[in-house]
Amino acid sequence: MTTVLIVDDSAADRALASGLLQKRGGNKVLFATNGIEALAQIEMHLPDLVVTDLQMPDMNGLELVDAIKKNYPLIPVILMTSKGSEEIAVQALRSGAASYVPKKTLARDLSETVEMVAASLREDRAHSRLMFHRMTKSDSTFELPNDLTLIPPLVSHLRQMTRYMGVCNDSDRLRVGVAIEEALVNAYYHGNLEVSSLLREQNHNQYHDLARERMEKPPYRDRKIHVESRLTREQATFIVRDEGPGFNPETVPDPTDQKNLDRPWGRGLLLIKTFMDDLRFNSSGNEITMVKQRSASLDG
Amino acid sequence: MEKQKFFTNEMIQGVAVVTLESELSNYQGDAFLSAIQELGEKYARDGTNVALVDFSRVKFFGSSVLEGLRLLWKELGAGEGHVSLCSLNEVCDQIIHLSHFDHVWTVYPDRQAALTELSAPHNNG
Repeated sequence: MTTVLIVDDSAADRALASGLLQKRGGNKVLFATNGIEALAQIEMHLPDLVVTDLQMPDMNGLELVDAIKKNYPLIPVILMTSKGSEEIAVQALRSGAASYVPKKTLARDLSETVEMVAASLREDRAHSRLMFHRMTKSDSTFELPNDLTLIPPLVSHLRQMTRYMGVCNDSDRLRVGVAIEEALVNAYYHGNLEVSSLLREQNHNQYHDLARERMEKPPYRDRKIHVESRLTREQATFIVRDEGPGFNPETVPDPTDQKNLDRPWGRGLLLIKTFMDDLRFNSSGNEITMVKQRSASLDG
Repeated sequence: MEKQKFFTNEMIQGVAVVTLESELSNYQGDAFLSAIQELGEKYARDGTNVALVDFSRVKFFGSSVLEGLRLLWKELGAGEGHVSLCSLNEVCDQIIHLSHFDHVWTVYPDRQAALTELSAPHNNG
């Protein structure tokens, strides 16, 4: 049985959506007429998924998606879109809405979309039951071409693995993600492409132009980024190595010094140092090892 | 390919408000910096020297966003111009604090508090 919360200020549209979902069978339906009522219903009944209109008084669909993603990240939201709500729908999808159905094709598409999202949800939950707190150790190694577009999925994967392992809380996991991303971007620009922040200080366009130019030229274009992760329930270790000549971390100016506030230097390294519990470089400076220990607050 | 949209900008109660979008990964640093610099140049041409950057959609960010804000601040005239920030979550607030930009930029808890302060008559000239 899938419990679906239908949120719409139009009684006729609520009735239509409800009829479609109940006709298909296997769905229990709850109702709300705006985002505020919807949040109250979610608090009381914790539905499996939410189907919402976008244009409503008091709290619109976009604000509702934001609130659900923040407070109930495992509840998927399906949008019912109508003419004039395209812009807000795009924003809601970016904010994490699972799918959308145009109101004019509701009769044809709503049940199928809800079933598809519910099936995916069941699979996610089964996977989560397996992974959460049952995996005790995970080691993985990645060899990436020097390609920036692979960085977000890798960071997302490592953050997710940290989540499964239960090493840190949600906020710390975001911090770990920031640190890993900074290390990877440093490996890409400063390590493999050997582009200095000094150039960025003069002109950030020249900095990125040189990076693009070097992506076409050997030896820079052939260099790889090597990433290793070793996760246990006690700590997460991430090692990022580039194939450039390395650098001396001691030479990076302190970005928090008042006189350096207006310079584009060292902030990535500062974030890594702060967000990880331990940080070390190899002797040539082309490999960084970052360690996050299990948060003490998780044991309390 | 569709151009990535990193923020929206609008004038609200006489204040230039820049609302950052949620996806602000460092890997798009190049395009983000260009977009924010272009906006800063527009503000400079229009004589706008106060901007409010709204982080309500942002879960986290890295050094590229800090660099973009620094560029915006520079375009607004650094010491004379003013960048204000609002609606930062715990992680985003910590990043601003760590970088010491909270020494030169004002951080407000939410947009309304920022607009109330920034659109007050004593801030208009």
